[in-house]
Amino acid sequence: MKKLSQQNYYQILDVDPKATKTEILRAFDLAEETYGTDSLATYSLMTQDERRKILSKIREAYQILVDEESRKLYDQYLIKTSQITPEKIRSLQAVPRQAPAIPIEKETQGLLPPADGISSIAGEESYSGKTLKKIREQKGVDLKQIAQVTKINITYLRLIEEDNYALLPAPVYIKGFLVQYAQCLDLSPEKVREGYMKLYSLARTP
Amino acid sequence: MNEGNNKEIWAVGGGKGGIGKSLIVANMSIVLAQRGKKVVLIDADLGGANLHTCLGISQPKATLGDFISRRVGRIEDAMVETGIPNLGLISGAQEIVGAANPKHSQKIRLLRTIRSLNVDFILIDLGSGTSFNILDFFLVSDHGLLIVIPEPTSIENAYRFLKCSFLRKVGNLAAQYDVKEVFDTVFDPKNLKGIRTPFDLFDEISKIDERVVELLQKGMEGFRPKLILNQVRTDNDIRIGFSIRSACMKYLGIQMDYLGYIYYDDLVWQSIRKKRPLVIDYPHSLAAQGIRSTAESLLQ
Repeated sequence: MKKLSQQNYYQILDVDPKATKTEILRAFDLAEETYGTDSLATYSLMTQDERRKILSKIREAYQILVDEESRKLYDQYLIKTSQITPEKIRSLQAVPRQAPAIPIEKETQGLLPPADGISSIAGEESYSGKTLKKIREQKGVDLKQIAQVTKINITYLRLIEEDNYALLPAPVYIKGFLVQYAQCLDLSPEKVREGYMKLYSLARTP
Repeated sequence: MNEGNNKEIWAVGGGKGGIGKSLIVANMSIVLAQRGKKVVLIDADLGGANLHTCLGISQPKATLGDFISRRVGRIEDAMVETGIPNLGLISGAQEIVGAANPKHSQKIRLLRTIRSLNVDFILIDLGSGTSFNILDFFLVSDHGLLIVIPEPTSIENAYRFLKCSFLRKVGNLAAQYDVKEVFDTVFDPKNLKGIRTPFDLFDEISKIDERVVELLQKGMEGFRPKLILNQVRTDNDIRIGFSIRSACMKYLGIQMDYLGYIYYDDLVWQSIRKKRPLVIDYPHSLAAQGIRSTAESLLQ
């Protein structure tokens, strides 16, 4: 039973120290909803001021954990101060090149509504914008969060998901956007980039 | 049949009336009985008992009230067949006064006797509110199930129920230590000490004796209610369960499991009107599926 002030960033965000970026995004999304002004779950339990304080700690945790570099430094600090052992940390271990299966938090298994067809989508070789959007939605990640993390203008992200090739910038930029988008969803950046650009080339060939 | 001590008691509460406690516990007991478990369902909604209606049987002649007031000697004599194999019912008291408010000694005898029943599962339907009688049934259980619907009044009452249960248990544990002065005011939400959460309570006790805090926290480790969200309509409703769990951990310091959710379903209304159990008459309905999967998740 630890007070919020005594918890580390993973505990504050309620994620495992091995959490993927998608899980961190999803946890942050839920926390914003839980401690937001209009939250049905907490309005009667705590004052606005108490909610603001909790939310501020959660945002602090999120800012550190969502960024690979700052997360690595933070993990090193946790190990150095004996708050955690190295094998429990994800950022210090080799990240698999192959995209992992779409993660579903253990504790939410069986609770979340079924994600129909999600595995077949994740295994696709060609990734249309619509497919990417569907995967993102099934993973419960908001497009705004991807824009915030990647610093890519949300308009470009929307154009990618709408397969609106005519309005997208030059291919070199699109490829860069796709790699970052895929990383946010824990998909293989190479597969997403190649799969999307294959469709792009077909559509743009006269 | 279970003749050893490894039987389980599940108590279903929620603080508020009309949120589906009786319907859920009645149908959960059928789910367990259908899996070959010997089950007794106890209607501890003393004063407002109606579990028999959820099971589709008429008002039993013998009730829990008869055992409390010693009109029957053995609790088994207050148990009736339900027509469902493996499932017995001990109906709630029908008296307006008296058995609805058992004395402390009567309650202790009742709780002890319930534990000695020769079955695999004992499921208890609690009434609404946060009276000591209700809290004590909740706390004596192996699994305290908290039913909440995604509406402000229900959520508000659920937190009140949780806080009261926590205080009742920690208060019982603390009775052996010299910290009585802290507990004298704690049930008043406007107490001058500003104690609003378990964290505040332990801070206050630590001013008297820090070792007592450690002992109490250890004693409270087993306090882990399980949340069931009833009447959900949307994905956002389902997410409220995760939010409640998070708020309980972060703000109250109470560990809670989110056991599952049950969809709002018109077939529930139909089964109630027909006075027939949902999982028997509408086994494939969304609500029946939710009840079944939540019961099964507790069995694992």
